[in-house]
Amino acid sequence: MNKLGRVSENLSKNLDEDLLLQEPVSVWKRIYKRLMSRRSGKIGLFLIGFVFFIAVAAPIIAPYDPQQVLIGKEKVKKREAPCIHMLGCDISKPAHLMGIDGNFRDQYSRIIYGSRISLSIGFSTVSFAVIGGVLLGALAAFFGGWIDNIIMRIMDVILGFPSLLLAIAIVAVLGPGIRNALLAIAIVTLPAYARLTRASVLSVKELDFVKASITLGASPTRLLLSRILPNSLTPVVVLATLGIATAILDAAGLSFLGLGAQPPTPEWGTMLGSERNQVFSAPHLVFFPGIAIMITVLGFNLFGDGLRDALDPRLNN
Amino acid sequence: MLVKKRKSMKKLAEIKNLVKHFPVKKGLFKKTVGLVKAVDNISFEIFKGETLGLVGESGCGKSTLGRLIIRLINPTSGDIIFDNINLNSYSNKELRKQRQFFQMIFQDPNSSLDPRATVGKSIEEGLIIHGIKDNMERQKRIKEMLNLVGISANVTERFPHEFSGGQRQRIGIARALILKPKLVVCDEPVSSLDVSVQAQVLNLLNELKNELSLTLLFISHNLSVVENVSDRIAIMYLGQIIELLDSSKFAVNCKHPYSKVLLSAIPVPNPNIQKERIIVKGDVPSPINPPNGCRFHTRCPVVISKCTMNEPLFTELSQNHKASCHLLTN
Amino acid sequence: MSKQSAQLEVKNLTTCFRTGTENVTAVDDISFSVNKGETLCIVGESGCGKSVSALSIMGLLPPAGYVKSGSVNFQNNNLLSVSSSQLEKLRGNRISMIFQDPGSSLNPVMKIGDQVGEIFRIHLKMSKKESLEKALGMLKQVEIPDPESRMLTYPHELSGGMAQRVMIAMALSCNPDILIADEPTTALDVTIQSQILNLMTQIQKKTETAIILITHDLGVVAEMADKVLVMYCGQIVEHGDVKTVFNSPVHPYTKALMKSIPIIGKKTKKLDAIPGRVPSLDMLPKGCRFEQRCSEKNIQITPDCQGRIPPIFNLNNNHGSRCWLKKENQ
Repeated sequence: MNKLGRVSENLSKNLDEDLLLQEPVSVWKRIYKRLMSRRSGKIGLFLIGFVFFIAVAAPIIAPYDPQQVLIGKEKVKKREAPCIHMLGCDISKPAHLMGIDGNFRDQYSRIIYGSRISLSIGFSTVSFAVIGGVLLGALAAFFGGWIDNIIMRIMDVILGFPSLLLAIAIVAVLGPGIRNALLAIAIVTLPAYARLTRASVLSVKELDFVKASITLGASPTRLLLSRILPNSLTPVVVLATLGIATAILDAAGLSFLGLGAQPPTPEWGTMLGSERNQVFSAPHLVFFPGIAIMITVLGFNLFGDGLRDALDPRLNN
Repeated sequence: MLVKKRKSMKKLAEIKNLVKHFPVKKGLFKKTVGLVKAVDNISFEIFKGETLGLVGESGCGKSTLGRLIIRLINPTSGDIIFDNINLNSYSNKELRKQRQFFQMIFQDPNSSLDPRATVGKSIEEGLIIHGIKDNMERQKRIKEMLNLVGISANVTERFPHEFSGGQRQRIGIARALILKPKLVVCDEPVSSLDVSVQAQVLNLLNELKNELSLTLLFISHNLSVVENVSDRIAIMYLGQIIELLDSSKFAVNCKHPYSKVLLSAIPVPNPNIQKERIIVKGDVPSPINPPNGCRFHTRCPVVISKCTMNEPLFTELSQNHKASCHLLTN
Repeated sequence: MSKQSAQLEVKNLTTCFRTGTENVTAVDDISFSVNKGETLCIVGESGCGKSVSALSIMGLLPPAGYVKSGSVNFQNNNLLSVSSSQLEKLRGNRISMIFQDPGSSLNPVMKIGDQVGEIFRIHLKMSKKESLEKALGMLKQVEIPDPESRMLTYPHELSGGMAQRVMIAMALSCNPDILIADEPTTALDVTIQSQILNLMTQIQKKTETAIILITHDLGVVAEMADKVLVMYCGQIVEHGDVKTVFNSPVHPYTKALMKSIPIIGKKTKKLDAIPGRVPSLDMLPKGCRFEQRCSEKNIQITPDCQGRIPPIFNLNNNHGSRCWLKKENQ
């Protein structure tokens, strides 16, 4: 433990030397500690890590190629139930942990590879939306006036539409496919980041340390990039984490409707969509994609919640 | 503290007819329905090497005046002549370069330092902006400055939240003074600090002023503090300076009724004295609709009818003593 | 001073806070009493435990805080062990509290008249009509101008001074025996402060309410107090009559504090600052908490000062000081 030592007479001017006896605490370490102290942060991080691991290790874990049709290679029936050796399935039959789908493909491998697609959809849409949104919001807040007005009214127009409907409309115009689905989701979610950044920048702009930089002679660029933005991004980070979850859900929704990833791409939403009529005859084909979506979305949501609490500046003392 | 004769003191800055009105906007189309007359036609001088105290209660415009002088806010009208050059004549880019000569120390140690930047980076910013390219040179100056303000020089990699309020205030001072400015506006520099730390920081400011030959504009609502540190005192009320005089024997010499009210309102830490209190009625009027005539007439204990109609002029009562009050200028 | 009947008697009160790893003691074994018609001032800097003491008495500690030991005797009841429903009946009725920031103490969505009237409805079981009449009476008592129309306004329409008067009106509605005021004028301008303090004194003369006034301003203490309690790092370091403590302070902290504040009319070249800073509550030294900053140490006493926390030594006349030095000179 730290002890307050006696200070010699020479240091009478620097009597606040006890600071140096403590170890420096970096901002990031504090945030990490706080994040891990809450159950939501821990579980969220664990789930996200789990999904990431699966995505990265897919070629190693997946027993089959996700596009491989097994019709001639194995004696499997269409939409056959899962065959798990440990639970009693005959050893002579090849193991299919999540069963066979409607095109004679191993679902387990498809779910595993689907994680790659979902994660990349989540991250790429959010990246696009965040970069665009933060830029527009920061410019609106920093310059104010008519720039602010124009940008925000455009954002209002986009926000006026129900997001999924607007995404469907955009995809309908551009044509189905993953790339267009990504673009649609990014456009639809961008205004939230713009609004959030604008609000954040407006309040940070008035803080004393920004005024101090102005008095030191900082140019507007320097102010925005060095002082204002780094302090405005906390709420954006939280929203982005939660946004990944929403993006994955939206993408699954679009794919479910046939507008996103097209078959034979092993996207979880597509898998759900193509088998939705088989809920009672082949429940495993609906259950596992659904669970996969749920676990991923839950992981990001919990992590986002934990992150928001960890970053809350009011807890700084 | 030596009180120099005014004639031998050079002017560092001259403020002429400075006005700042903030529009009050209401309604869907943000129409301007009124004006907050935060600073209303102020003129005075700041002499090189002095500490000019600016004191007043909330809403009097002292903070606004401080920020106008260092051009954190732009005036509605009026001139600020700094070192013989009118600040209005600079372009934005030129003004940024000139900023190294007038700096500010802020009130709240919690928000005056960037929480995401190390202390070293915060102090360094001014040096980088004004072209000190050599990193070794910058680090040297930072360490010198930290020693001057009484903080060990090894702390440059720490973050503001690791320091106490008093230490953060010193870091803010280091940041302002590293550019060797001529004028430093201190906006309530000790009001947010504990009483036992206030004296430390006030002593520090005084030492630095002497060591670095600074001129200070010391803004505070605490008259006792202002009287102690200043050479001259300016008292503000509702956007105007109503009295300006030397600080020595201020308590005896001040003449404006509001100054006397302010003086009598300060609780003195001596229970043996039964103070004669001048209790004014009511609150400070709103700066959106200041009273006609003399702005203090609605609360003045010695008001006469002339005060309700004519605004008194800021006139010289004796050497180094100006005030605006009808009763004093007849 | 009036009758010797103690209205409130606090004995060995210790309050702690649960923080993550360890528990922190915010109030360490304090004892005091207040009589009818008397004003006791608790003075100290931030973190000394003065506000927490008040909250402990009122049972208003935040969830992380708890009273570890001690008793608070009010009219033959220990407030720390009565049921919460009994405590609710006493709060606002027999014991009231006003806080520093009137803005956050008033309900923003209730009209002033309703808020003040609510006290009468809850504690004195009056009807709505009667309570509003009483509320109007209270607003007149605290000298709010134009009270009839103020009854219908909302808190955000009031200035700081007015809002604090409303708070006082609410606190005094049921003629409480004790009023606890936690920094009631710190956020107000000095002229408004003198109005409010004056008001409190007038009302006390009429109703003989005992007042516990918490402040960091020694001037306010000198004006208002009959008795003084000086706190440092959770402990009482000196207590006594206001004149005794101010005229002959004994504890080095009290002395140093009085020397370090600027006083109007007494300009000094350099203020007598107390070196160092208040130790944080989770890193308290083993012995005297002020020892590190004390300028009156002598070599013989020092091992005691560093090794053991001194108890409060009773000097004459109910004057006590927590310092080993005084034991020697007795």
